[in-house]
Amino acid sequence: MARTELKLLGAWPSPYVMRPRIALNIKSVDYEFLQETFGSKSQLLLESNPVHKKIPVLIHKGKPICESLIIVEYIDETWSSGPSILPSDPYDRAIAKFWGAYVDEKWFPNLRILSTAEGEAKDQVIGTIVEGLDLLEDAFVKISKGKTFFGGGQIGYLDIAFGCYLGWLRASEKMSEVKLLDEAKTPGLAKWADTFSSHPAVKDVMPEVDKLVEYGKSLVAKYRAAKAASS
Amino acid sequence: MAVAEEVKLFRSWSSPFGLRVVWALKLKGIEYDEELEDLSNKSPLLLQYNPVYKKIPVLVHNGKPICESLLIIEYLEETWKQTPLLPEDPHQRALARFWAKFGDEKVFETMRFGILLKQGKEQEEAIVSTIENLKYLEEELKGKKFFGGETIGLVDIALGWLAYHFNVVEEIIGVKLIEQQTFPSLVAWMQEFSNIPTIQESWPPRDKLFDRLAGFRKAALGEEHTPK
Repeated sequence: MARTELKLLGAWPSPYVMRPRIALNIKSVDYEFLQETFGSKSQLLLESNPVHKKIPVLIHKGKPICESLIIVEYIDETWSSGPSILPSDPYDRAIAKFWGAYVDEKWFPNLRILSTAEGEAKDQVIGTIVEGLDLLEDAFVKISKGKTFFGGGQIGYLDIAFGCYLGWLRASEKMSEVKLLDEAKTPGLAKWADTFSSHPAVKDVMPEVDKLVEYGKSLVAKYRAAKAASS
Repeated sequence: MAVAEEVKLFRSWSSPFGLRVVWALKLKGIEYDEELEDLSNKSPLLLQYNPVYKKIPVLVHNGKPICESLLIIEYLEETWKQTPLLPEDPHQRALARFWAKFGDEKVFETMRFGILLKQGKEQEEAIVSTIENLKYLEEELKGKKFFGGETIGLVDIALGWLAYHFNVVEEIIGVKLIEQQTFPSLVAWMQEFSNIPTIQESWPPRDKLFDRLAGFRKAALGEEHTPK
């Protein structure tokens, strides 16, 4: 595949951008990575995702595909001769997609809340995050069936959907000085997290935790400044 | 001897999300049993089948539960191949999934919470946002009979509530948003979509739906409303 035929618009801190990158790595497909500058949106981004104006956007032969998990599915369907990302059984697919939507809609937003939470509110959101991890531990045990990944012996859709958040999970632990992913409470997930992060398709696109902490702190500072200015 | 397929749908009489699964089942000619849930008193079975969200719809196929309406429809699509609801081309499929998601996350959410349950400035902002989002749908539809092309597909089913529930909300708040002048394609689509017998015969009773949605508004704002 000529690099010009496949472009990915993204930014290094974004967990959503990691998703198509991992998927393309699994398929051994080459692409051009166009990094967006934080604070401004490129003309190409605004043209290729006019509805949401968000990254990631995959542009394949001039046609844009938006929404990270939709992009991952597109990659799986388009490069169908490579290793499969989604399970082949329709029921397993529905389960994988269910949990992918869960981490996006229910679980991850709590990490954002944690970054600026204080006192009782902080304790509460920590509790919610940990409860979510308990649910995901159960899901991992059921879905992996004793194998290494949610996808079984290989990384699959749900590994990608959930695993992309591990960098921010670890960064949140540092920023908020709290242990969230506890090997004593969720041993399956703890082990999976290490294995996933060091997987060849993942390790080069997983941002360093310290860089995320630095970036996260700057975001919190901006948020606090904006809040103070408006009050 | 053929093994009987056991398909059971847990839904409510009013929810547009359950309704879209009914449409998918009927369009594909899948036989199923239905359990109408009272959402103020959910059955133990529902809670068992959907412990994470405790919501309808849930489809149970041979004892295995599938939750989330769009996921249920994709499951039906992959298991029963007749009357396909998604195109074959991966890019077209990605677009269909995109618009279905857009409909739920942007248009429905704003209508259900920003327009129906708010007033004053908050409602105005929700209305402006909805009109913007409807314009995207109008543009996507241009020149086509249905979002799916000549026949209805996933996006039509996902947006189907626009052809019925939306108008009930318009009536409750006393503001018409989907007007012929601004949204000619959308208005034509609403008509075409509603004319399909499977769709027409499945709509919930309008008066009952009006009372229910008006009741939500009243509870949120503390207004008086007179049932029709």
